[in-house]
Amino acid sequence: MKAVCWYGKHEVRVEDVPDPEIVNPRDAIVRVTSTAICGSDLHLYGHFIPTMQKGDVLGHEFMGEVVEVGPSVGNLAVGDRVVVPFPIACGACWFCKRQLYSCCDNSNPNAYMAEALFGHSPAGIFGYSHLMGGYAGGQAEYVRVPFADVGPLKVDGGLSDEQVLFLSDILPTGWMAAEFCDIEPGDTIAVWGCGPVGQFAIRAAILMGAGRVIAIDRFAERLALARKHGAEPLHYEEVEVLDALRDLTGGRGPDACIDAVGLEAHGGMLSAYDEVATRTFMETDRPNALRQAILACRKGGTVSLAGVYGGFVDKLPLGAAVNKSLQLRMGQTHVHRYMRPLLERIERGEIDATDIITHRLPLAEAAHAYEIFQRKQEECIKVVLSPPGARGEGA
Amino acid sequence: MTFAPSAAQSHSAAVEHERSEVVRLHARRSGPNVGSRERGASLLGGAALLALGAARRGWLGVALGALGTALALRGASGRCPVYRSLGIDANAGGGIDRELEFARATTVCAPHDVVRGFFTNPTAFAHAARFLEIEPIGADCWEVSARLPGGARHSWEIELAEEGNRIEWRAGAGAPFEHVVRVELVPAPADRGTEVVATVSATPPGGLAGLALGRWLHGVLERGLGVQLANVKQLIETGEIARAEAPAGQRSAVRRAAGRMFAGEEATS
Ligand SMILES: NC(=O)c1ccc[n+]([C@@H]2O[C@H](COP(=O)([O-])OP(=O)(O)OC[C@H]3O[C@@H](n4cnc5c(N)ncnc54)[C@H](O)[C@@H]3O)[C@@H](O)[C@H]2O)c1
Ligand SMILES: [Zn+2]
Ligand SMILES: [Zn+2]
Repeated sequence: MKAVCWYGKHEVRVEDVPDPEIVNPRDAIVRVTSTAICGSDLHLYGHFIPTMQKGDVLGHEFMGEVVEVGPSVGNLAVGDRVVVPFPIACGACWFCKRQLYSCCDNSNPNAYMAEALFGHSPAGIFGYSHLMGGYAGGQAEYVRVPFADVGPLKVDGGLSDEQVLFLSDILPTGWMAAEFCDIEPGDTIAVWGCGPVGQFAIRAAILMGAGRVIAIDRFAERLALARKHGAEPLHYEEVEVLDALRDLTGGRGPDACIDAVGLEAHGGMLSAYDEVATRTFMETDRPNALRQAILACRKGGTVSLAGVYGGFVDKLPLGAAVNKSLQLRMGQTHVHRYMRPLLERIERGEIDATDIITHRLPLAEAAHAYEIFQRKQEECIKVVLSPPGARGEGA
Repeated sequence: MTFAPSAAQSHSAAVEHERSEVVRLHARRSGPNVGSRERGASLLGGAALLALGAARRGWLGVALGALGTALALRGASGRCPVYRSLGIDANAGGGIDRELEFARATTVCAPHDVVRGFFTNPTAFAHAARFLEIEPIGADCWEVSARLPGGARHSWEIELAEEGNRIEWRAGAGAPFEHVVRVELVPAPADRGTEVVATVSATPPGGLAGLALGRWLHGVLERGLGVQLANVKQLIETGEIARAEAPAGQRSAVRRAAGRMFAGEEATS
């Protein structure tokens, strides 16, 4: 089959790889009909996440049709149309029972690697380095889905792939980021990053009753989309973000701040420092949006991290966080928890996730797709890839 | 303010003992281990060698200098890596400690009886320890065989003993070296299930070299025990052991071997 394979910094290739097979009794094989490139994939593309190996199959946002099920998968049948959540979760461990699916105890075969870095191992993730399990990803014609009796969500034919694909990751991710803010009526929420995750965080905050949402980015098309959905845009290269946020909120600061940027944040007062520090391995991640979020947040407020960090950060204003009594909440999204309620909102027409898609390309053009998404060229916000044979299906 | 006695206080003596064992087995191993007289001698001897080395030209001078520096540092710091690898702590008055011991714990989200049933069932046990085959040959005796590289096979007997919440496996006839594996089952708080605290003590083969190698591999052995416990946990909680199989990247032979050892993965192409 064809699959998008990682070959090093800024290099992906579409290659022929062996078809996946059922390995464990609770596995299923899914024929992928649509798959997307995530901001998290860019961290792999930029080689910020360790333990990638040449030839690894990428992709954790995908959906498709079940073509084979293991003997212990009772709830799926061949032919079912499913959206698959990006964290792999067993459904039976203490964490899964508490709906902390991305903390599943039993789905990372390389737990020993993650334990060395994080103290404990989180759940395995499709196509996201050997540290996170070494599972082949879904930017491919077929993918093996472990614990298929727990994760995949069945969707009927009434909805198109594009309407439901983002239930696999970014829609729940934006939602969870907003949920972390415990929004009360009249709250002002500031969102750093107007990529797909930021866009959905903005919409979720508004649905949850936020009075105002202020959206921060530097790309006009992304800021325009945020504005279209009710946010007040701030261009961080043209405006002093901290000063503006303070005085746009009567000096108080936003009640909650969402970092939807992550470890590759751009710019800022310390950007030269971060450049040197990451190159010399003194830090691995550039936490510039997070620094600003902490400084901007009102006293007693919440800083919610949707953006991914993989290693170590430096010059984090922890003193500000402590002395302003901030609450910091974060995590890989517990996607399973949100899929069904968000599907219902999509069915009721409350959420339309399709308007973030700017590029629809065949899987064969993945190298180009990664490049434009990484460089934010061609006004690219979100790319959806179609494997051969799946073009136009379900749409 | 008054405090109700905590659950921890009401634990049995066996649990108390197990917890103190865990603390003992995780003692820091970087403290001074050379006695005070010997430190002085080491410092003086090192200084003398250094002086001798400085007076010589060529490789001999360099070698003497290096040896002298190492000895002097050993004296000054009181830390000797050779002693460490043999388990000698002169400050505790000890000789060579021929036992290798390590511990790991996990929590299985299942009741005590289920966990106990797993550990005392040879078929289930063999499923978790994937490189071993296990045949029961008596009420409390198992025959264990390991597949060795090259297709050979080595078998030995293991005696199983249960006492209270403890299960113990002791190497018997034919074992490649003496070892005991113990598992203490402790109820975990609230709905968390059962804590499994495993300790291994072994007398490695190969004399002092084997001992030194074993100590050097301490972290690896500990991690290996952790992986075996994770396999047990996964089998009880999910009925399978998580595996990432091809298609994946080009793994080196070393990584594949490490994967098999730590993650219980089968070979992938
Ligand atoms: N927690 C999770 O489970 C989860 C899931 C999906 C994605 N993520 C993470 O969310 C983050 C965003 O993902 P995405 O798909 O939207 O990616 P993206 O790359 O499209 O978006 C990032 C946006 O941040 C903007 N940005 C960069 N530096 C900034 C700064 N200093 N201030 C304000 N904005 C800045 C960029 O211009 C860009 O628009 C990534 O880190 C990704 O890994 C997390
Ligand atoms: Zn993602
Ligand atoms: Zn789980």
